[in-house]
Amino acid sequence: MIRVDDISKSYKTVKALKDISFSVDNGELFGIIGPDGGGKTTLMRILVSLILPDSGHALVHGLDTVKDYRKIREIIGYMPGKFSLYTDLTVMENLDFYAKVFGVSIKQNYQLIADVFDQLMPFKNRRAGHLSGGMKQKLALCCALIHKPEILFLDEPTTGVDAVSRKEFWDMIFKLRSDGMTILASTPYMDEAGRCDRVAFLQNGEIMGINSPDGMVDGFMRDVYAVKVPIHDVNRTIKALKKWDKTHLAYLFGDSIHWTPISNDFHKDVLLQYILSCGCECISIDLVPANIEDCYIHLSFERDSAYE
Amino acid sequence: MIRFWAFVKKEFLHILRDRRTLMILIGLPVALVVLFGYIISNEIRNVKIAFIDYSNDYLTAKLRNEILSSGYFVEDADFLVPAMATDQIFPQVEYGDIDAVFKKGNTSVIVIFNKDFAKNIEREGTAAMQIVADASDPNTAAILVGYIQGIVNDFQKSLFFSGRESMVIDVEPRMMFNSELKGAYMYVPGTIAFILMLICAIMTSVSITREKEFGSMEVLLVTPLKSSQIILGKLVPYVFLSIFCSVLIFVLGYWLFDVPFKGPIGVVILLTLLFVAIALLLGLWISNFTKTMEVAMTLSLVALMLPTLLLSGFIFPIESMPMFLQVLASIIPPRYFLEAIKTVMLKGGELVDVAREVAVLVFMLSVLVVLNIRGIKPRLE
Repeated sequence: MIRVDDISKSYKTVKALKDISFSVDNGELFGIIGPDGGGKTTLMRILVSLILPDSGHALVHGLDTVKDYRKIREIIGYMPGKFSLYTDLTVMENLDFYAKVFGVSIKQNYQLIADVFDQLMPFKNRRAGHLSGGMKQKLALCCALIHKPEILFLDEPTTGVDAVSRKEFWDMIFKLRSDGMTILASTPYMDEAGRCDRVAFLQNGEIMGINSPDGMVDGFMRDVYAVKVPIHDVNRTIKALKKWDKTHLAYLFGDSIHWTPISNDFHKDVLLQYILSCGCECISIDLVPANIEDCYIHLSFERDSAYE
Repeated sequence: MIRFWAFVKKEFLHILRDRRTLMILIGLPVALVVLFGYIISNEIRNVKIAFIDYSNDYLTAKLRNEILSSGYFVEDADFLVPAMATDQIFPQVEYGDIDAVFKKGNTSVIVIFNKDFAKNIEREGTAAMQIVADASDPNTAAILVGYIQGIVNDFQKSLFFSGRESMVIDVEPRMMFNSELKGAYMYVPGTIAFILMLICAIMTSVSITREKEFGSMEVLLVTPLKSSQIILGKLVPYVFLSIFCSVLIFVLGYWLFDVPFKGPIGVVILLTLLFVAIALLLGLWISNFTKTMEVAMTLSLVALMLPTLLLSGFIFPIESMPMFLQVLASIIPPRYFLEAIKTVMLKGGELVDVAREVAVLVFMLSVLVVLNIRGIKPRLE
């Protein structure tokens, strides 16, 4: 398990993490969701013992990330956000190197990576630099797994990967979790949050909420209206809605506008009337179930307005 | 240990995969030595020579002829006057004028025959002559003297007098203005210093910063590999590569261009290894505070390569530098390496003759070791 207590970390001018605390249970797939620059990578690096926190401490499997860093490095697997394998070595040489460095043989743990590595087999003598983005990430995952770590840290594993590979990648992460591995993964993509057991929203170095994806959505108390307007009216409608005193939030969501009222005691006809009165057209208005992205947007808005 | 050797293997793969760099590292020393060697041997054509012939007999006339007909030398007409009695041409130069003759700048070498040259050979089987060369251009001077000695040797073998097995012409070479031949054949130790700096310092600093820049250092640190193992593993392949290149340069210089190798080979090896260690640690030290390959490369070039070329005495004699450059030159390792190698290789010095240089190099090495130990970090920051 992972335990993080009041971790803070500042760079020269930026406070990257502000008193972060959370814990991850054994066998849990824990997601850290947040925008770029939110502090995800800093948190990951502290947990894998690469950098020191300014204050607070973190335990990985009961080992202190500062004092017991050498022991931690024996039992974790880490895949950084940036592709960090050796581009001038072949697929096989990369894997062989990481296996030897951890003192294991590829054969010994092959079944752990077999699903993914079988896809890489046709390219095993190709240099890693000549692989496609998705293949590179799969190879990086194999290298992080080859020593059968107890805890796996994945920092934005799917950034820059196409949609199909992203899905395959998460399928694999999910399978590892089913086999009992503890996994901490960060991602800027909301749609990936739904696959985690629990997620933490991390923005501006603060955790805005921790819950299971369903719990997040269930705990979301506001009604969400999806407003469809002609494409040329979208910006104007959002502007008009934002000025309206009944509006809690209005934002673009896919091809429609999501709108939440200040009070749930509300009829959608009032919304329609208001939009029309502003001189905009309206195609449809539906009450929709909130999803995790709505939760995230609201959490981050409420945090911001609390500061103001 | 398996972990460490896996790392070393990876480093060798990096070097072997980067064919272009490898070609440069092996090609450059060859090119430099051949180029320097060729430039120097190419300069020796139609060099102005003057004779002071105190004996002026048939043998000296013959030897003078041999020298002049070799194609390397022409007699300097400025110093010739017709002799009174015969049509023979006598040199005007007197022994005391040598200084002035050289300072006029045209004559590069003066050959002096002692009195009774032929008589001494016939009677005692030995005669003496002197070669005085203007060694302000030391490379050329050394080669000129070598040529004349060669001609004299051939000449001496062709002499047969009844009752004598061999004739000895005693040649005493003298370098004027630069009696220690500073700079002569310096291109071999100079090239070695240059190449070792290139391989050890630049390659090491670039190879370590490459891991940082590409982010692979992040993954490496989060493995059971110790940071000291990572660093040692980085250095090992370059030690091999530098030894290979040094041998290449020595062999090329020795076989192709007859660069003398007078001193004990063990001392040369010791000096080279000492310098390799210093250069590696310099590269390592640079990689401590650089984050990108570009910066590491530029810094190594400016802070290490330029001084190696310009301040080490390889190209410009340190004695003729302005004071502050002399001070600067006294803190750069290649200077001591060059001086020591020159003493051993070219002058046949022993370990005791280079004790001072070795001591300075060892001191520099220990400073660098301390600096680097403090720089080894198990984390990113």
